[in-house]
Amino acid sequence: MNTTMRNAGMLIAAAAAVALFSIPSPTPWNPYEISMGERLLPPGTEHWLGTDHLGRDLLARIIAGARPTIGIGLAVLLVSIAIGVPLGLLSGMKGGRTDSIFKPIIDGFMTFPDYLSAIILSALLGPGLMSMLIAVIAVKWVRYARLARSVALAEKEKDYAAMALLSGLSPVRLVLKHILPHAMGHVAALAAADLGKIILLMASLSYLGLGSQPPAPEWGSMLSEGRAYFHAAPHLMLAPGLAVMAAVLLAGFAGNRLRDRYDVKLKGGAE
Amino acid sequence: MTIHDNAPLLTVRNVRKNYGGKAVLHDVSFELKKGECLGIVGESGSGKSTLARCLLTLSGWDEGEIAFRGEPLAKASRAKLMQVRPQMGAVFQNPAASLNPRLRIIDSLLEPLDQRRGFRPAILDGVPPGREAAAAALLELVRLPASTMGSYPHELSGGQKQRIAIARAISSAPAFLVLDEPTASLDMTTQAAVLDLLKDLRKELSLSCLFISHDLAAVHFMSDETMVMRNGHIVDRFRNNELFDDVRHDYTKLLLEVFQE
Repeated sequence: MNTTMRNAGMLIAAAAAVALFSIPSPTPWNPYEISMGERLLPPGTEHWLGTDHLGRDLLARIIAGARPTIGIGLAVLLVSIAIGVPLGLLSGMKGGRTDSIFKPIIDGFMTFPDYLSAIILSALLGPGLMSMLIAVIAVKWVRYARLARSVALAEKEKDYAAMALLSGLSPVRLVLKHILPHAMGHVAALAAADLGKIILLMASLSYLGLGSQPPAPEWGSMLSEGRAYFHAAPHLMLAPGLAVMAAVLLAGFAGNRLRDRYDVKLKGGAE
Repeated sequence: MTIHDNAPLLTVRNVRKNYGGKAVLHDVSFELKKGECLGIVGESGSGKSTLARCLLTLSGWDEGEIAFRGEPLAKASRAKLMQVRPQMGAVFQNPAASLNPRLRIIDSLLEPLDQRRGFRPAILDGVPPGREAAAAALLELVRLPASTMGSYPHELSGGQKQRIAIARAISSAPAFLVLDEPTASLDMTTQAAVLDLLKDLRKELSLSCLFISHDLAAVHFMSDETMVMRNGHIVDRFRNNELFDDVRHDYTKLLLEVFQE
């Protein structure tokens, strides 16, 4: 992908994010207002994306659902990074007994597929938004821990780390100045792919009835609600489905750009 | 703390180190005096680099004592080590791994000085204040243009990176320098240029150093005295003018044959 396309992708993602969290909904419809006389209307001039089984405007619900879906996805991602990266760095840098405690935990979590673990955890914790958040974070943090650990194990052995210690840097400063920035490039690349996966995972949990509960307009639960009417009103699934797809694509664009920013080989210094 | 010129800068007494139950250093003992350059020669796996990492306090050892300026380091606290380490410098074998690929050359080069705020080494006497002037002076010392300071390591050749590693190692005027196979991964022409540079700097700055190599010719060129290591043991030790004496250890004679070829 060339620089122009990367920049365009990043700009569209940034504009979408700004619009999402700052601009009020452009539709006059209330996403929660039930109108039984307008049930399952197809897309038209009045309701652009049609209405759902309770006569609620679908566009208003998609827009209202964007904030919780993407906002919560971002929050889950950041919390997973905030837990995983420090623990991974600690394990990799300390080595020895500390690493021998963390490594089996990380490997143990990694043994189970994301979806299976998240569904089991969500089911154990009971349906609801908070349960879903805990389940997804519990599944995701471990990937960042493993990544940060492997970066720490590799980088701490390099000669520049030895030279930094000889310069008088403390081990903590060594991590903050040399190892963490190195890990963040890899973390950005993983996060790029992960934001989309988290949105999909949360949508899937909501679709199964384990995530956010009605009448909250979350995209996954909207998909779940639309399933019963798929033959009569396919737009009920198409609209939130396309919204999830667009969010995943934009997250991918933004992530690629972020990863490139950390790739020092794309930078030139000498004049 | 100052020491008498004749007092050893570094004292190594019966140092022993094991890896996975196998001894990689056996009762290694020697002294390094101020202004002296001691060469260590030996084949791969003889324990040279392991010994270097122990001397630099980057790796622990199991028995024996290493004292720097008379102070034992075996049980030194982390605070003590952070105080001692900046008085040591090192240039390692692989120039590609010696510089953080994410940092511009100026930031890698000046890291030792940035850590010791207010410290101005004698090699920067007469240089105007400021990071760029200091970086330019250090680059000039290793015969690189000042424009190099804005580059990233991936934009430089192996020889240029090694020169920067040398400039960085001497930037804080270390009491002693470990040169661990500094020419091993360079081509023949660059090897000769880097060895010449090191020898000039050694003379110019009166550096005390430990020069480690598998190449007896390079060690002979750089050092005043040579120790021969094999399987973690020091099997021979001689001043350079004694190299051709008949009393040398068999292994030294073998190295000498390769050297003469």
